[in-house]
Amino acid sequence: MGENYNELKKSTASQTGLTDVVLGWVMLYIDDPEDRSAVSLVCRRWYELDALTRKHITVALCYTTSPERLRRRFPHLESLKLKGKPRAAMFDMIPEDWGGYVTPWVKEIAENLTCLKSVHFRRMIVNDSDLEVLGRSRGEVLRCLKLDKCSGFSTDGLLHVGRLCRQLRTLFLEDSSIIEKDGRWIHEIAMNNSVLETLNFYMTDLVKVSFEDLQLIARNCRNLVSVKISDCEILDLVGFFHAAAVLEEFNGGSFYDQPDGYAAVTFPSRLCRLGLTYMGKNEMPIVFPFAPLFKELDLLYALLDTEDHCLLIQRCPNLEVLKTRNVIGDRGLEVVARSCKQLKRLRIEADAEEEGMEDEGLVSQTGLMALAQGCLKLEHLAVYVSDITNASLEYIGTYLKNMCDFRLVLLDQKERITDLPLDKGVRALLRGCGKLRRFALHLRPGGLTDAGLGYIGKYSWNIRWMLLGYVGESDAGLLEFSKGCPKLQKLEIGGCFFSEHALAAAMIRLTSLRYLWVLGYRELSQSSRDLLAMTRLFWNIELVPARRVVKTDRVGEVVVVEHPGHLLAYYSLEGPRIDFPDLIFRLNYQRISLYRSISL
Amino acid sequence: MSNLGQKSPDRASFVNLLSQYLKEKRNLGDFSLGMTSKPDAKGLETSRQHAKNMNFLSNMPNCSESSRPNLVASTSNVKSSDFFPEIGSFGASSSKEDTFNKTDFMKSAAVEPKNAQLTIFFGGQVFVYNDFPADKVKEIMAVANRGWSTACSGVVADSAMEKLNANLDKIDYSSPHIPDLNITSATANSPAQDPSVERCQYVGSDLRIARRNSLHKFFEKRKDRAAMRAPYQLNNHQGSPPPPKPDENKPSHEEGQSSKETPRDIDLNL
Repeated sequence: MGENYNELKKSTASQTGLTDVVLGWVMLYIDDPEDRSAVSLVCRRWYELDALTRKHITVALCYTTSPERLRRRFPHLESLKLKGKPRAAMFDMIPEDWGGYVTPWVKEIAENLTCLKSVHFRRMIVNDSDLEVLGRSRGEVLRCLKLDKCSGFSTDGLLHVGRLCRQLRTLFLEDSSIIEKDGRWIHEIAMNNSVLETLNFYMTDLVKVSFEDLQLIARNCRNLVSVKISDCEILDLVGFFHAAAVLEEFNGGSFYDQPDGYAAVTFPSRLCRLGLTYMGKNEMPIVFPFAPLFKELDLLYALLDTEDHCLLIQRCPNLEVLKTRNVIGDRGLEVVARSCKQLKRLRIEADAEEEGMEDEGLVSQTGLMALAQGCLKLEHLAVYVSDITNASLEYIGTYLKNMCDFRLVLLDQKERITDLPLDKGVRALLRGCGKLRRFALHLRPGGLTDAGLGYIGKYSWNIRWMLLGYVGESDAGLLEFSKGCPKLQKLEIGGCFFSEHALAAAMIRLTSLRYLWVLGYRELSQSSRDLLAMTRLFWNIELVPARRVVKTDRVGEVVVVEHPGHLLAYYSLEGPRIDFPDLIFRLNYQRISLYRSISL
Repeated sequence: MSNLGQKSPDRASFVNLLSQYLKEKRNLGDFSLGMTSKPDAKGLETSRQHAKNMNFLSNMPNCSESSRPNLVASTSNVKSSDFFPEIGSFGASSSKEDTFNKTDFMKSAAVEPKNAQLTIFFGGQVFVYNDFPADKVKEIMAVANRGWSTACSGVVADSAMEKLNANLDKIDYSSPHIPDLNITSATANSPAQDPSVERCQYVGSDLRIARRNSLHKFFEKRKDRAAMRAPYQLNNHQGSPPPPKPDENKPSHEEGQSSKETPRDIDLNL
């Protein structure tokens, strides 16, 4: 036996020059999932070593595989990220009971994944019982728990987390829908945890959180670095800010009219990432002393106008991340271009339509051109514009060579757009930004011709994810597009009304495609017959047919809302899922072959 | 799961449909589409065969054939022939409904033998038929109503026509372009020539840009704060939020506005 083992070791070493031990050590330095994937394909032995040494797995859609399969391949997994509902769920387009239940995964984690220390569920349905099971089984070793845009649980579930997961460094609940019963959960954390570093319940509607508990957490957890909370009067947090000596990041809070103003508030000395909810013109000066330190600034939920933005941003030369609404305007973007030379990420969301739409509060090609020339380190840009030209996109292609994530939405307030279609600009942008991996373009009819859509296909050599809205003119554009995009894995299409058979043909041609989401397609027949051409082994197709829903709006009027058809298609090793709501209809290869045998 | 039981009547008709389709597909070749520059040619073939093979509404056997010579639509004939057989087959949960509707058609056919122009707005396309027989119109309307009412609750059959009429009012007749994403050369007007006017012609497209839930929540709260601070500036009620502007409630091409109702009580968060 010993002889054979030595023989094996020798032969392996002679073949590759590396023993398994050495190979295992080398693999530990390989983190990139695509590299890891390539490593695992070399030979069986490398596959096994990769499986033993892989630390983190992201399952982009939880239905592509099963908990058992994950555990069989990666029994020593330390960190898991699971995503459930399609991205459209963030825009209220997916029914709440669509799916994405964590229960089977939690069961597997509890029973078998003994090394797991970090769990991240994104857009999934979590029950209180799931949290209890997780807490009881992994509570002592769990270091990171992220319930990211999840729903289905209450503060009782968080109570289990607070009581049982005492080693948590990170508790992240941002944007989750949580049923609030009381604030005991935060009290449990305050009493039991002394190692918390990141606490985030931003954009939840939790109001029963007591600021005294927050203060206690700050006192007990000497490494508390990042705190993002729901609405809580800032003046109540003075004690918290005093206690949180090493705090670097804070979001949330709230400002109300206070007779003595906010002069009493002092922030921790290391604070460099900030976002204060409802911060207005009058309160803004309290952050001025810190402005030169700011690396991240979140003004999405502030109440500032264009001038306020200019005043604040010009004091932030070290800014790397900025999020705000389009009230920043072109003038604000010019200030950004002048002042924030370190800027890496910029997100500009659209304000509500009923806001006074003075021209100041809109972003257009002018701002984009200034930005392109000024912020050369920009890597992520997401912007809602009111007007656009080809030239501005050409500027982006020329100057922003580090761009890896670009998203543009053309708002529909203005009837006439300066310069459409955007074929030339889009081509220049894609050719210039060679590192682009994620790309979103949402225009309007006439925004991009079929030729332009073809350019997107031709020049997107590195893009993995794409969102296209109202682009192209006809099926020919989609087919031209599908000739390219060699690395496109995930595609979302909205409002384009390509026909079913064009979608099917495109899907077949896109060689890397593993996930397709389509909102609104041309149904030639209600039975979605033409989509059958898309069916293949391991490809799940879920349809929600077009329908009309009667809703009652805020003032009690009855509104008939048109919901266009949805299509979701994805590769899965597990076959069709069974936990979908009634209105989803599945087309499946297995079923087709069954019907074939019947008709024969 | 209980939904499996509910699905079986639809499945029965769907199985029939599938087996027919597969037979044809086997005859035409493999599943993968050989996409030529005229993608509709193949679609035309299969759907025409379908119209013949599957007479789910057998009392209107000639409706496809007879309506074809009347078409002056800018789109090809296949659209109308596709409507009639398929809509009936998929929506129906049993053959009894088919029989009932046939009787209905027969009755209405006898009453009004007038011919007039029929315009249909569907999925962003406009179809205009001259000299369309009135009895066939009633058939179409009945089929459309039936197809809708099985899919959702609470919608009265008449609302279908109301919506069609509403669309007629909304569409700007002066704009010549009718976007047709399926056929490139059918119309002389392409979106590139008149870029700024087409958006209104997509059904339900008034508010196409979806809003992120988190931002939506913030806008609602901001409105409530403004109302709280300036209750005397409102028209009717003190302290209550102003009525929402029309833009908010217009349907989007996406799933529509968030169904979360803003609480009438203002949470002071103290």
